[in-house]
Amino acid sequence: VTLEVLAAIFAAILASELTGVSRWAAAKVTRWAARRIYPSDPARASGRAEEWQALISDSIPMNISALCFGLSLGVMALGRSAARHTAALAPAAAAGLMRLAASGLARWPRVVLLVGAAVTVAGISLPGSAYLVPGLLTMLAGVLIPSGRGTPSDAAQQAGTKLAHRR
Amino acid sequence: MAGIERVTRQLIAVLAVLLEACIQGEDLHGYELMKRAGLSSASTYRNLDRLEDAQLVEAHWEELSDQDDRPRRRYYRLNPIGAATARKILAERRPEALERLGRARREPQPRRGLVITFAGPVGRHGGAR
Repeated sequence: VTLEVLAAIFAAILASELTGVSRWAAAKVTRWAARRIYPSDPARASGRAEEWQALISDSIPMNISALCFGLSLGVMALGRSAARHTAALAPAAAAGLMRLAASGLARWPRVVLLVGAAVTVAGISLPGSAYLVPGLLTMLAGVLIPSGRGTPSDAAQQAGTKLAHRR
Repeated sequence: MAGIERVTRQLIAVLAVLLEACIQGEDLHGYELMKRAGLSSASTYRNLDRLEDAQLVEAHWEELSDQDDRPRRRYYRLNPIGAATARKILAERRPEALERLGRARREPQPRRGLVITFAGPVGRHGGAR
């Protein structure tokens, strides 16, 4: 099986070297990547796209290297795109969390505190993300919001008392 | 550091290559920089973006004549502030790289380009005129 896999990889590399499809694919990927990496700066995006096209068509010696060059930039573009989307969604997610904390979860302040702590840790570990302030606010809410029906341990105690009365 | 908040291993590698090229009076295009630094294209351009944003690197497009039938390349070089910053960062974080650069500078470099020697007619005393 290993030999077959190696043969398939070798055949794919050979085919890409002979047909030049790798350079074509790399050129396509880098054009797409330039737009995704610099969405707010079209001049820079077009400059980088031209630069990468020149390198792919002229400077990079092997077709497979050109493909690796393009794919690496493609992965970077995907990462940047995902980070932007996450950053755009984070405030909405935090607002939803706050609403949830203010309504149902207010009955269990410890849970709110734990969720806030988790969001705060995410905010600290992802510098530049929008998690830190909502996380701290959620923790604050967990400390300040008075418990409506008591803590989960209180609820368990009440359930225990009810059982004792029934007996 | 001036304009750079976080100094990473990749940034140091890019700075070392750019400083070496600057000392040797070379301009590097992205692929050459990537090969010499031993980084992926994404890492190379991520760090080049940071250096350009911090205004430590100057970039210029290659000027081609009408006979050149190929797309123009973009070349990079550290500016004086960039070179000073690179020296400072390397001195702090990778002094051995800076020492190697210093040794390379002191050692005689092989001449690059065409060397034209005069081989004219020999004079009466046997020396070249």
